[in-house]
Amino acid sequence: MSGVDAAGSERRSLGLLSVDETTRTRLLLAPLLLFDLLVFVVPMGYLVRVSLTERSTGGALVRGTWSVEGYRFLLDSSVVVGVFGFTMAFAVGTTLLAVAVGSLYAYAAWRGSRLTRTVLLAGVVMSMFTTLVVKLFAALVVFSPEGVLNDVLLAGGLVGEPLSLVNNEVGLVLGQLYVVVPYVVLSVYSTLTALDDSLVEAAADLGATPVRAAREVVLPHALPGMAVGGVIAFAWSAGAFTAPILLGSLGERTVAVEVNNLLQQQFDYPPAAALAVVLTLVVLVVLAVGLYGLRRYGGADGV
Amino acid sequence: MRHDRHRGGGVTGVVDLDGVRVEYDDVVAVEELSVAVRDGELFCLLGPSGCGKTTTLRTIAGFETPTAGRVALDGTPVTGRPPYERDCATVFQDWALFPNKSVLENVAFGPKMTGVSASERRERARERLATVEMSEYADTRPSALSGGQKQRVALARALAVDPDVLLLDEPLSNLDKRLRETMQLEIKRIQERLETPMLYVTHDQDEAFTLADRIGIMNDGRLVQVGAPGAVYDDPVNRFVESFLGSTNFVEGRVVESATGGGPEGRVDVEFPALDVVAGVPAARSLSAGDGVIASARPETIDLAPATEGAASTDGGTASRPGSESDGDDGVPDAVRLVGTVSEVVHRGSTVRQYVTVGDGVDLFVERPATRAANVAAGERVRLSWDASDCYYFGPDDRRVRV
Amino acid sequence: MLFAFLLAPIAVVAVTSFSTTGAVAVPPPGLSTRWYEALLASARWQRAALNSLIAAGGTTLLATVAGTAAALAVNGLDDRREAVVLGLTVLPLLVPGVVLGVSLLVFLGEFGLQQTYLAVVAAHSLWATPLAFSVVRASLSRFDPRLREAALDLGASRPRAFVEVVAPNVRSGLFAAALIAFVVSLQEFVMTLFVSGPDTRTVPVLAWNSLRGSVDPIVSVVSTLLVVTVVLVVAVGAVVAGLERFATDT
Repeated sequence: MSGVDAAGSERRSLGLLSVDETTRTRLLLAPLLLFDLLVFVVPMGYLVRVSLTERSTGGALVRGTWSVEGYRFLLDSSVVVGVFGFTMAFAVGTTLLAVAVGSLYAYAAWRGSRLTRTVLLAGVVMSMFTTLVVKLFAALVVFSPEGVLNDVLLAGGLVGEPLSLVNNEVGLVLGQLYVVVPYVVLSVYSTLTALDDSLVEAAADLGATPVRAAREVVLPHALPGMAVGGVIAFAWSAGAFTAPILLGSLGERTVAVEVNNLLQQQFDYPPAAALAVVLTLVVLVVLAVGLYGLRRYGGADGV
Repeated sequence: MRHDRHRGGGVTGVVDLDGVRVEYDDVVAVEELSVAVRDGELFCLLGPSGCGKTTTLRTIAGFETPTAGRVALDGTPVTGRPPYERDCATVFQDWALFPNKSVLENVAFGPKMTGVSASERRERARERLATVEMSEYADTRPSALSGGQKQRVALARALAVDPDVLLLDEPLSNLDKRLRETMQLEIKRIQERLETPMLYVTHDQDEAFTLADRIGIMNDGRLVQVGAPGAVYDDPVNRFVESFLGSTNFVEGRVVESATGGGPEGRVDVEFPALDVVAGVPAARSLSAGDGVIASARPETIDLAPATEGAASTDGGTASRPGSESDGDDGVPDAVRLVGTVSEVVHRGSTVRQYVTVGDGVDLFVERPATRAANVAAGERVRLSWDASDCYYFGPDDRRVRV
Repeated sequence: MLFAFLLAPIAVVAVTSFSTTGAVAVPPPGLSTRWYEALLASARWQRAALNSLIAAGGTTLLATVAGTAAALAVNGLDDRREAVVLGLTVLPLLVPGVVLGVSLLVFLGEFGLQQTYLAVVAAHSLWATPLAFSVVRASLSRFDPRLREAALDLGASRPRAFVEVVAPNVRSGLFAAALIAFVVSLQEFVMTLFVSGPDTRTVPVLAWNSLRGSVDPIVSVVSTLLVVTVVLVVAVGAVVAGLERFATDT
């Protein structure tokens, strides 16, 4: 036994990086933790601090003061309250639509032949990796009153006058779907790939039609993936910024847009920061509830 | 081997396959397969992995579509029908229990699909769980069960649809040996009680012999032989069946000029160069001088005795050609007698295997119940002998040479 | 149908980028490459392209290194600590981009660091790192730890074992992680909008600014080029790592 120990300690002293397990783990974790601390935790903390300073008329940040004026402004301003309500309704609606559409798409990819699957997945990955600005610009080109879709519909005599698909709620939801659907598709698809084919066969063998088998076996299995996808879709829709500006109208301001207005146009730091903090909290609470639900229903791998 | 089709008014099988062929891409998995499973029997499809037995079962269940041939269940043609329109039920190799449903819900799934009322299907599920002695686990999730318990639930779930035939796809291969043997008896007991016909796929010949009323042996996508276990073992149609049903000693030989000229007894003389022996073999006229022959001397037919006593010392060599003991008309003996050296003694629990090097460095082995094995050790010289007529002979086409 | 919904707009944009007129119309009245030429001649767009590459390069480096190191480390943690690290890493992905952008803007502003490349890379890495981390972790979890144990048993030091045995086996995972980090940086917009300045503005931000003014056909061209770039990167990733895994790991 002593011989083994000697050899072990020799090896340890020879290699410069051969340190014990705990130190090694800490060293490896250091870059990530340091990074998240400096770029995420501290700035977010600072944001909370800013939200608690006094408001000033000059548009500058009043350092060192403490006040809850920022939060009071949020409560008092009916505009902000309305914006919040609208944002939540929009986020929930978009999430439901995205989960429905994305799950169908993922199911189609999963059930499809090799080629179909490759094409469908490649489409999703491509869409996901296309910048927001391009995707939404493209949506604008297609859905605007002078856009391609209306041209086609008018030419085909399907509609008498152009459909208003942008600069309203429809455009907003449509645009946001482009942003979040790919994430739903991929999270549902990855849970589906973990589904054992023989379970579907067993259901068919016991007399279940394909529709029945999808409902009894595939759907329960895909639920965690749908929940994860839904959580992502909600988080991103609640924070939607680009789609509302490009495809919505002034009437469809989301919280993120309002934060930007307060900050970049009115230079009113405390309410902007307060709004951002509240938005983050709401999103995180919904996420926590969602993840808790996932764990309770079991079989979730997390994000 | 083949049954009359129901159209001919003869026996109707619960499962009838007629000239079935299944191809994947360019690979032919099953070819020209015709077989009928009779009502109430347990039929084993036995073969090495990749022989097409699982494909055959999946074709019956409806998961694969044959490129040619017909499938009928209980006299009704079902070729091309989807699995959910067939009255058969499968017990899958990995059991395929629905993880999100309780044991009871799993068993009640089949009746639920056919629209049986909630109370009735629960009752039926409980009944089936009782059959497999799993009643107390009704509300458990499958993930909490052991392998053997999952196996029982899978069996109950398949039985709950009252199938015309139960299809079992190597259902015990994921269990350890002892549990497997218990479950084999259990399945046989259930089968005998419910009289549900079963088609059981396995690669384990012991399992097939334990369970089956009849065995069908498959190789390379074809059904090679069908029959009762004993009949198949006693009468293998070709070399593949002989090698697959158990361990045996194959020795290559060649037909030399036949002394009897193919008389009424149909005797030919076969030379085994590796053993340096010529033996008189009862054989069909199909064999002629110069033909290659392979003899199978089963380990239980070879006698082994220590070489210390008797005239062994006169041989002086590794093999004997004991012309003095000839019992044929022509000086060629009907028995093979050899002297060799024990190379290894292997205790296999209830039996003992003794490997003996003879002749041209050929290893033969003898197997006996442990209580009746000759007491010899590695390195000792021993005599081996067997009657040529106790061997099985396979001709140039690997077919069995019949007398 | 859904596939068309997802991709048709992008195709339309690609078509309009070859239009002869300044108005975005389909079908275009004529085909030309004049907007491509205009793009090539534009110093603003060239600067933006360069900025995008700098940001993506920096992000790839930072995210891949930090993500890989952390993915290696979490195996050595107990379950509770692992959950904490996991949560902290993934959290930024779920915080609205506007909030992150604002917090970075305000915080970095304190040190005069807003509008620098550092700010842009830091912001992008906030999203790229968790993705790189989870891709590498997934790839490591497929790696049989006994191979590494065998290497250690045969006398390899830990770094040596990583280089000789672990890295070659998870190479495609590392590669995919780097690609994803690169693409995330290339396409990130909201945070960049807040933390970048006139000199560090990336392509999506400049495209946004151009769009805010009026419909600019150059945006079609830029969009098309961005999409082509991403397609190439994804294609390379798919070939190296396999599309299925690429899709499910992300």
